[in-house]
Amino acid sequence: MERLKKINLKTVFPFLGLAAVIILFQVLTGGKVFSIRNLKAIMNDSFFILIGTVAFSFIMAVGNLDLSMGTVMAVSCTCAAFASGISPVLAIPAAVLAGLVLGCFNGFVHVHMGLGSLIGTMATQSVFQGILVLLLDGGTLAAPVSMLKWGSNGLKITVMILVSLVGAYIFNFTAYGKQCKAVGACSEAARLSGVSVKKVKYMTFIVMGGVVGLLGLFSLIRTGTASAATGGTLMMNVWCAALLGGLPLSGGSACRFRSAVIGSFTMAFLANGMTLMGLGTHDKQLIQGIVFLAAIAISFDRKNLVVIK
Amino acid sequence: MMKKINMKKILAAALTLGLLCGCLVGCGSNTAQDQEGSAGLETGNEQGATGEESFKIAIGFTDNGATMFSLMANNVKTMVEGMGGTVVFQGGIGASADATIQFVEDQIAAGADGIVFGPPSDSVLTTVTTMCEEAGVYWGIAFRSITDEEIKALVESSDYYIGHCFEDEEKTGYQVMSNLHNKGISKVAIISMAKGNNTTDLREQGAQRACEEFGMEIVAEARDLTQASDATNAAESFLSAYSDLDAIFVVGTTGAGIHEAVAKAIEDAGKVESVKLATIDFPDSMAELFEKNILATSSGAPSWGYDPYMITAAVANACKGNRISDMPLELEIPMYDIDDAETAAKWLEKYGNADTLYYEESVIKDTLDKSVNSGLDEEAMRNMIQEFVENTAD
Repeated sequence: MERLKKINLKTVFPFLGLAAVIILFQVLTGGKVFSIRNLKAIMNDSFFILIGTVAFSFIMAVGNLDLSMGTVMAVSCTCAAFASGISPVLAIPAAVLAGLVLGCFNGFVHVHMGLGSLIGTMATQSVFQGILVLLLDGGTLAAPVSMLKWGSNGLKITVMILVSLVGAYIFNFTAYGKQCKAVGACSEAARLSGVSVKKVKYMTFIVMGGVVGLLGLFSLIRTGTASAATGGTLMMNVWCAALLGGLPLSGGSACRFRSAVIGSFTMAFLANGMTLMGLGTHDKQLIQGIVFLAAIAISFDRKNLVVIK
Repeated sequence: MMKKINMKKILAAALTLGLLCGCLVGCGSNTAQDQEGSAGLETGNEQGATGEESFKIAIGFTDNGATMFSLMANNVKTMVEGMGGTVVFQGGIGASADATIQFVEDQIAAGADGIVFGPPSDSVLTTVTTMCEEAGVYWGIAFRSITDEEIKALVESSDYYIGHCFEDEEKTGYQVMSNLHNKGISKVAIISMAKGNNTTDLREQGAQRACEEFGMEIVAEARDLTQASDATNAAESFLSAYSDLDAIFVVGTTGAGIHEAVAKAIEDAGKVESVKLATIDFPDSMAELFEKNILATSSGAPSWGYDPYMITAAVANACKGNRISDMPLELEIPMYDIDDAETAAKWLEKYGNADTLYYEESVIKDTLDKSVNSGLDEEAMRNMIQEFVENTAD
C-alpha cells in the first residue's frame, strides 16, 4: 500500500506540476497566459523543447544521457546555412544529415569506444564546438532572406504533432521502443533475451542527432543566423522538461512517453509565465535552476543509481 | 492498480478543468480590454499620468553590470514614464541571435507596444520585422546600423520600424588606432566580438584602414570573450608571444571586467611602460587606468545609454500615435576621445553616476514628447544630440 502511494505520487507529480504552473501564471498575470499572442509564443517555446525531449526520451529510456545536443544543433544549423547559400532547399538535407552524422559519432563513442554517455557526450560536445568554430571562422553565418519565410506557425504545429505522434508510436507500440526500455531496465537481461543492446543504443544517438539536426534547420529559419551561441539553451531546457515530466534518469520500464510531452509544456509555460511577469534573464535562470534541482530531487531513483551509465 | 488508474483520471479531469478555467479567464480578460477600446494594447488597462492610454516599451541589451547600464535604465525609465508609459528591461540580449528573437517574441507576448534592442547581426532583423508587423508593435535599433542592403530594404519597408540610433563605428575604430599611432604605437593585439557582429566588424575595418595608412600592424586577436579570466589568458598569451607588442585594443566586449583584466595582465607582466591599453566605450575604471598610465586612449559616445534613450523616445512617440517621421530615423551620435586622467575624472563625475539625468523631467515633456512639442522631427532630434555632445565635451 505504501509502495503504491509512492508510485502514484511520482506518476501524478508531472500532471500536478503542469496544472500548477498554468493556473499559477494564469492567476498572477491576470489571464494573459491564454491570449492569442501568448499562445503563439508558448508554441514557439515548446516547439524546440518538445521535439528535443521526444528524441531525448529514447536516450533516457536506455539509461543514457546526452550533453552534446546543443552543439549538434549548432553544427547542423551551420551546415544548413552553408547549404542554403547554394540553394535554400539543400538546407533541409544538410541539417538532418549533419545531425545524423554527429549522432552516429556519439553512438560510436559510447558503444564502440565504451565510454559512458555522460563522459562521452561531454567530450564530443567539445569536439563539435571546435568543429563549429572552424566552420564559422569565429563568426556567424546568415541564411538567405527567402528562407526565413518558411517558418510559419502551421508548419511548426504540423512538425510538432508529427514528431510527437511518430515518437509515441515508436516508443509505445514497436519492438524498438520496448527494447529501449528493456535495455534501460537491465541491459544484460535484454541481451540474454536476444536484444542487440549495442544496436539499440546506437540508434538512440542517431535518432537524437537527426531530430536535433531538424531543430538546427528550424533555428536557422527562425533566427536567420548560425553562430556559436545557437542551441545554447536547448540542453538545459530538454533536460528540465524530461525530468519535470517524470522521465527517470535511470531509464527502463518506468519511462513513459507522455512524460516528454507533459514536461515540455510545463517548461514552456514556466518560461513564458516568468516572462509575462516581467522577470529578467538572471531571475529566470535562477528559478529554472531551482526547478531543475527540485525535479531531480523528486524524480531521481536513488535505488537504481548504480545502473546510470 | 485501480487506485492508480482512478487517480490519473481524476488528475486528467482536474487538469482539463484548470485549462478550461484558464481559457475562460484569458478570453474574459481580452474581451474586457476590447470593450475599453484599448486600440490593441495589451496593457491598455493601465493609465498614464496624464490620463492618456498607457504604453509599454521593452528594452533588451547585454547587461554586464557596469554603471552605464544602470545609467541608461534610469534615464530611459524617467523619460518613458514622463511620457505616460512603462518600460521593462531584459538583460542578456544582444550577444546571440537566439536570445534576441526569444526576447522579441516574449515581449510581444507580454504585451509590449514598442521594442528597442541592439541586434547581434543583420540576419535576425528579417524575423523581427515579421514578428513586429504581425503584432503591430513599433521597434527601433540602438547602437547598430544595417549593413546588408537586402535586409535594410526589407526592414525599412515596414511601417512599424521607427529607425536606429548609432555611432560611426568604422570611424571610431580608425580614430582609436590613429590616437595610438600618435603615441608611437605600431604593433597592436585586439580583443573583439565574434565575426559577424556589425559593430565590431566595422570598428575592425576602421582599425585596418588606420593600419594601412599609418603602417601599423594587428599582430594577434582574441574573440568572443565573456569572462574576465578569458581576457587575462588572452592578454597573457599576447604579452608572452609578442615581445614587441605595443598595445592591446579592446575593440568590443559584452563581458564584465574585461578591461581591468587586461590591465592587470599588463601590470603583472611588468610591461606598463611598454604596452598600453586602448578601449571603445568608457569603462568604469577609466580614470584609474589613466592614472596608472596603462590606458592610452578611450573613445565612446558621450554616454553609452544615450543611443537607446533617443531611439526609445522615438518609439514611445510612435506608441502614442505621434511618429516623429514617416521615414525610418537615422540618428548618429558622434564619438569623442578621452586621453587623460583629468578628462576621465570629469566625465566619470557626470556619467559615472547612475542617477545622472540626461534631461530633467520637465525638459523631457516639453521637448521629447511630440504630443506637447509638435515641432519635434528628425532634424530637431539631431540638434538635441549635437547639443548634448557639445555639453558633454565642455
